[in-house]
Amino acid sequence: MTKVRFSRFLSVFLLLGSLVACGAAENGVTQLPATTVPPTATTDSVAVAPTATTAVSVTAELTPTVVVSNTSSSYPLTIKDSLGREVTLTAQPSRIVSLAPSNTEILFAVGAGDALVGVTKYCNYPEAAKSIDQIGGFSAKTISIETIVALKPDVVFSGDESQQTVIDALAQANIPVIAIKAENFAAVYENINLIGQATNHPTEAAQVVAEMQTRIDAVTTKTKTLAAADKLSVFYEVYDEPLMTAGPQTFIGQMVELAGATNIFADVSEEYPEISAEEVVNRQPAVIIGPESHGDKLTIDLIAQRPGWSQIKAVKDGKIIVLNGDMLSRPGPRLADALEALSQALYPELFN
Amino acid sequence: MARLISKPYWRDLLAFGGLLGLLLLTMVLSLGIGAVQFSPSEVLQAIIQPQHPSTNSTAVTIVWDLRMARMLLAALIGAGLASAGAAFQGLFQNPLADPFAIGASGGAALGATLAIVLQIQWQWLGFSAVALCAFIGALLAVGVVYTIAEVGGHAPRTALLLAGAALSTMLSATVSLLLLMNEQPLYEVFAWLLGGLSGRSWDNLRSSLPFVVLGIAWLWLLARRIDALSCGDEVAQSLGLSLWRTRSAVIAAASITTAATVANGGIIGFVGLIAPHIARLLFGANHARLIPASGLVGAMLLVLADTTARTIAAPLELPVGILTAMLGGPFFLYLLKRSRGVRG
Repeated sequence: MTKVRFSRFLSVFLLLGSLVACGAAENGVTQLPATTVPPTATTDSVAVAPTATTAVSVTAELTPTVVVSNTSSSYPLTIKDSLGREVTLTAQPSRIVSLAPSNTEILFAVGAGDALVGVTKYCNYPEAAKSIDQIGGFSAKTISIETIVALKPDVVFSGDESQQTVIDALAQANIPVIAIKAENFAAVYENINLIGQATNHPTEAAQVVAEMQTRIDAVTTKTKTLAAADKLSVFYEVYDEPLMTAGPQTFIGQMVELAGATNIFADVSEEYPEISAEEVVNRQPAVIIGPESHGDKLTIDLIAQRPGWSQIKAVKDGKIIVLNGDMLSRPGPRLADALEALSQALYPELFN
Repeated sequence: MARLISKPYWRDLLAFGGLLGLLLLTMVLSLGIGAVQFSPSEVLQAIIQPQHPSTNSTAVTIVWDLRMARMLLAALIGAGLASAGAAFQGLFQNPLADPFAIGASGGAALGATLAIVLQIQWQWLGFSAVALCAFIGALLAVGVVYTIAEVGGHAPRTALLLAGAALSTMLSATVSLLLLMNEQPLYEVFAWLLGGLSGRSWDNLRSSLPFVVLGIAWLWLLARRIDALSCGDEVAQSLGLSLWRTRSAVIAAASITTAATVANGGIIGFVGLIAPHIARLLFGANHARLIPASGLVGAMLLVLADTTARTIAAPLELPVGILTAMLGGPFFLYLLKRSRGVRG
């Protein structure tokens, strides 16, 4: 038994490595790229006040760690990454490795996708990312350092502390690593600018951010008008066995708030906690939302068969929404698409 | 040394009656505790008169649809693990033996992991695919251990335990390897390995019930022989027992019980180790009493642990296996300190 327990410890580390800041991004299900909604033409750029329930300011003051010049970056360039590490790039990187699906999406969005020579096996968006060499998975233990070194990258964009062992090993091999971490929308904008700066695409990065902000503002301007009585209560189901939801700090949780709904589990402090089915029944969500990754299990008939769930308002009303989980949980440019998709699914009458 | 002298009959009845009453009380209280609280009288009314107009309909839904099956499954699994644990402690003459002593947990873990990773869809006898693979895995692992340990129609205790430990280690390593190669189902497997009754319902109860009941009954029928075995091989042989047949029967009965509990509960540790010790303190070491008493104690412990698991961090759920280990560990150490030299 002691051995079994040791392997449980092992799996704890594995688990932490795979769950931190990735959530639904860890599903390897190939998904159709979401159709990008054209940015709504609006001159409205009202800063969104944080909602009372979350301490997240959406259009927080951008404080880029590097001064964004308008045309191009000048090398050698020293950058302070999300973990406070100082990284110096001697020239514009022509060979880039990304260790997170969100980084890959940002790199393509700012126009540095051509320089990508290595990605994770979860980097499934945009389509072009699927044909790039894979260096492993997302959790540190599944990333092959040797494969990365063999690709001779000029820079590696890694994930957060959960990949610390990889970051350290690459630093040993004298490969510059820029760690990217985001806990809220403001940080995502910062990261896009930072990646744009590092790859010598500052102008495109600024455009991506501006477009995201415009689209997000367009949504929140509408959802802010909802009366308290019209706000829908939402249960977001990350996984069914064990039953998991997304806490208020996750991007999903923040997005539910921005879309003008309330997360029935806004009181949890964990990112992706296991919760009891009884609590879901007790809290009576008006809508149940889940990612496509287990969409085959998120049909009204199947949910109604769960013990006691037929009593839930959302099930009685048939309000089950299935969305692209990658889009919802990756801290990258598609957050704007995700918020639009979510709010339109929740309040179609607002967006017609 | 085992006490082989029976206490008077009526005292047994009284003690078992008391234990059973305590278990029923625990069950009723457990049904009332959770996200919504109900008094014992509300619970009883919801159970006895679900259709009565004066009955609280929310209570009926929550008690019958959400808590009852899970609570009964907790009791069943607790009883199964504890009875199997008691039998193994007697068989191996080892107070540290538990139902997983000879590889059942490793086999079940590998079976469940394969089912999750390969997305196997078999269903049989009401078992879900994961439960079925865990069930088969547990039985296969025990079978392999027995085959390896067997020498000339006789499997020595030490050989069984060593083969069990070695195979468990190998199987756990295989599980870890599978998980390294497939990250996506990591959380699902991890939750299963920790043992938990989250989201379990009537189907899970129905599939485990016949095997566990059959297994406990069989162990109870073998009780006198386990008594003889726990006094040592010479004693058992001098009583005219076939060591090999008795031992294989006990292993088969305990393993079917264990496999059926693991199938629907995952690997819930400590209950099978501790409950027999508590029962032994209360009822002595005579297996005819010890096996059913362990079952009752185990059922009570797991109902308590699962109630705690679903309420202590509400709205979050903890895997019950973590709780049994965290609560059971210190308790077990205390028992050890208090009664050193207790022999199973």
